[in-house]
Amino acid sequence: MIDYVNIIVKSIFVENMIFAYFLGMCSYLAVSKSVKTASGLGAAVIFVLMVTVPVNYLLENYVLAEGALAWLGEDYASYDLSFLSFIMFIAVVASIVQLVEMVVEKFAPALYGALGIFLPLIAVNCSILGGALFMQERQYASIGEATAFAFGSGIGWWIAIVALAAIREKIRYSNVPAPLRGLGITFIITGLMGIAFMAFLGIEL
Amino acid sequence: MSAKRESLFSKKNMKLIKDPLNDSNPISIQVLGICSALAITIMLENAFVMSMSVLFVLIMANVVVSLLRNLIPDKIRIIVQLVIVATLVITVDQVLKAYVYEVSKQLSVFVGLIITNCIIMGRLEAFALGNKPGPSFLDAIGNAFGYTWILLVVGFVREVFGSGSIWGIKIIPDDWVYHINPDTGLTEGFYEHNGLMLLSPIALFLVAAVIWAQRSKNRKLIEEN
Amino acid sequence: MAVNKNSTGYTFGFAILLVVVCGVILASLAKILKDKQQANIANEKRQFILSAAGYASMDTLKTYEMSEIEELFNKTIQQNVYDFNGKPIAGVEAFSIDIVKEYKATKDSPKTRKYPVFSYKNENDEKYIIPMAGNGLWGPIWGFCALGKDKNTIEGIVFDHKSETPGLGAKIAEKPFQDLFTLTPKMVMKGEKYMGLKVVKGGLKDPDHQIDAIAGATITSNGVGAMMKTAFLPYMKAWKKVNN
Repeated sequence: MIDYVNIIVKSIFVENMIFAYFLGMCSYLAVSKSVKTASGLGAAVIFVLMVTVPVNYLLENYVLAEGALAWLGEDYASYDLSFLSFIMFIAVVASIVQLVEMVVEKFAPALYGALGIFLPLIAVNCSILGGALFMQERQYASIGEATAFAFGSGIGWWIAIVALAAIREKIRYSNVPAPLRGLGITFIITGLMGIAFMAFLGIEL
Repeated sequence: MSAKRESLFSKKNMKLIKDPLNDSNPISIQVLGICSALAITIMLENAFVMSMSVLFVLIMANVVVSLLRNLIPDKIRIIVQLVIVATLVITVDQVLKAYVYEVSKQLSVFVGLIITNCIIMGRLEAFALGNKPGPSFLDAIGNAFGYTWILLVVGFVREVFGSGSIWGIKIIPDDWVYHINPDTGLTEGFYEHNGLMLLSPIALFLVAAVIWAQRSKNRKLIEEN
Repeated sequence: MAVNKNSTGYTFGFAILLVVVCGVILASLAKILKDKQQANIANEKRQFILSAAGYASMDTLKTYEMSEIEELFNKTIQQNVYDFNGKPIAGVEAFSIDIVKEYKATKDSPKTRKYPVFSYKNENDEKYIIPMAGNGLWGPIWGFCALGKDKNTIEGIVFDHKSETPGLGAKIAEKPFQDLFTLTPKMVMKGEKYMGLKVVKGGLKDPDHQIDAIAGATITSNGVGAMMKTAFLPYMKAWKKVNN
C-alpha cells in the first residue's frame, strides 16, 4: 500500500508532468484562462491517463516487449516488437480518446457537455504519450502501480493548470505591460512556478 | 482548369510562408510546439537539428495528408494523422540507425518529441486537411521556419550565457571561469556561467521576451487580458 | 463522390488499410535493417570496451573499420561471466549479454542476474572492465568502467544513454564528465568496506569516492550514482573469493 502512496505523491509533486518535465505545455498554456475550463481539461487529462496507461501497460507487457508474446507459445517467445511501441502507444491514445468521446457523448451527456470540447485536444497532449513512455521506461511491477502512476500524474497536471488559471484570473487586475498581456505573462508565470516546483526535486521517497 | 490554376508562388501563397514567421508564428502566437522548444534549446546545435527534423517531417506529413484529404474519414482523422506522422518519423529513424549510426544517435532523442510536436498535428488539422498539396507544402515551410527562428534565438542565448559557447565552440575561455587551480589550491577566474540558463524554465522567460519584443513592434497582436 | 466517407464500413476499411500499409512498411524496414543495426550496436560496444580499457580514445577508435575493431577486440579482451555470489558461470559469452536488458529482466531479483566482466592484459598492465546499467531521466543509461590491477582504482570509464537531454544529461556521454573519474584516483573500496561511487552536488567532501554532478541534470547524475553504487558489488565478491 505504501508503495502506491509513494508513487502517487512522487508523480504529483516531484515528477510533475508540467513543472518537472514540461510535457503537455501547449494545451496547458492555451486553455488556462479560467479556473472552470482549466479544471475541466485537467479532469479530462486525469481520466484519459488513467485509461490509456493501464491499456498501454498491458500492450507493452503482453505484446510489444521482447519475449512478451511468450504466452502465445514457445515459438513466439523470441519476437521483439518494441520498434512498434511508439506507433502503438500513440494509436492507442488516439483511439481511446475518440472512443471515450463517443461513449461519454452517448451515456453521460452532462459529462460530455463539461469535458466534450477538451477530449480531442487531449489526443495530442504530450503528457498522455509521455505517461505511456514513462510507464514503459520505469517498468512498474504491476498494473496497479502503473495506474497509480497515471492517477498521480493526472492529478499533478490538474493542480498545475488550475493553479495557473487561478493566477491568470487574478492577474487581470494587475497592470501588465501591454505587449506581455495574455501569452507573454503566462509564460513568465509558468517559468516561476516551474522554478518553485524544483524545490520538490530534493524529496526522496 | 489550367487557366484558373494559380501559380505556386502567387502572392496569396507567398503569404503562407511569410505569415508564420511573424503574425501567426507557431510558437509565440499559436502556442504550438512549446514542449520541444523548452527541452532542446540548451544548445544552438540541438535547436538547429530539431528545427530541421521538424521541417522535414512537417513537409512530408503536410503533403501526404493533403493528398489523402479526400479519403480520410472524419471520425478517425486524428488517429490517421498521428499514424502517418509516426510512420514517417520511425522510418527515418530506422534508416539512419542502419546507415549513419552516429547521426542517428544524435537524432534518436528527438524522435519522440517530433511525433508529439503539436505544430505538426496543428498544421495537419488546420491546413493540410483542407488544402491542396502545393499550398500545404508552402504552409509547412513557413511554419517550420517560424518555429526555427525562435528556437535558434532561444538556443543562442541559452548556450552563450549557460555554457559560454556558440555551436559548441568556446567563446569564454576556461581560464576566465571561476575554478580552483589544482596545483596551487587557490581560486582563480572572475566569471561564472549562469546555471539558470541550463534549466527549462528559462526558455519560458526567453520566449516571453520574444513575445514582448514582437508585440511591441506589432501592436495589433496585443491580447486583452 | 460515390463512396460515403463517413460510413462505418468505409471508416473501418480505411483504418484497416492504413494500419496494414504502415505495419508492412515498418515491419519490413525493421526486418531488412536489423542486421546492419545490430552490427552497428555491437561495433560500438566493442569500441566502448576498448576505450574504457585505455587502448585508444573513442575518437581514434571511430576511425577504424568495423572488422578491425572486431579483430582487435577478440585479440586483446578476455571475457568472463559471474553470478551474484561471484561464482563463474560457464558456457555464456560475456559479450552477448545485453546489460540493459539483463538488468531490466532481473530488476526484482539481482541474485539471478548474470554479471559479465571483460579483462584486458598486456605485458605490464591489466584492467578489468565492468559493464553497468541504470536509469537516467528519460531512459536507460549504461557504461563500462575499467578497474586497474588493484581491482579498486578506476582507470577508465565510458557512459552512454538512450535519450537524455542534449546539453544536460547527455553530458555523461562526453569526455569532460568522464574525465572526472580519472583525473584524480577514484576508489571503489574504502579500506575493506565497499563504497561504490557517489555523484554529489556542491563540492566533494570525500574526493576518493565522489564525483561532481552535472549542473541542471540532477536526475541523470543521480542515475549515474545509483548505477555506480550497484555495479561493482558482485565483482568485489568474486575477486575476494579468488584472492582468498
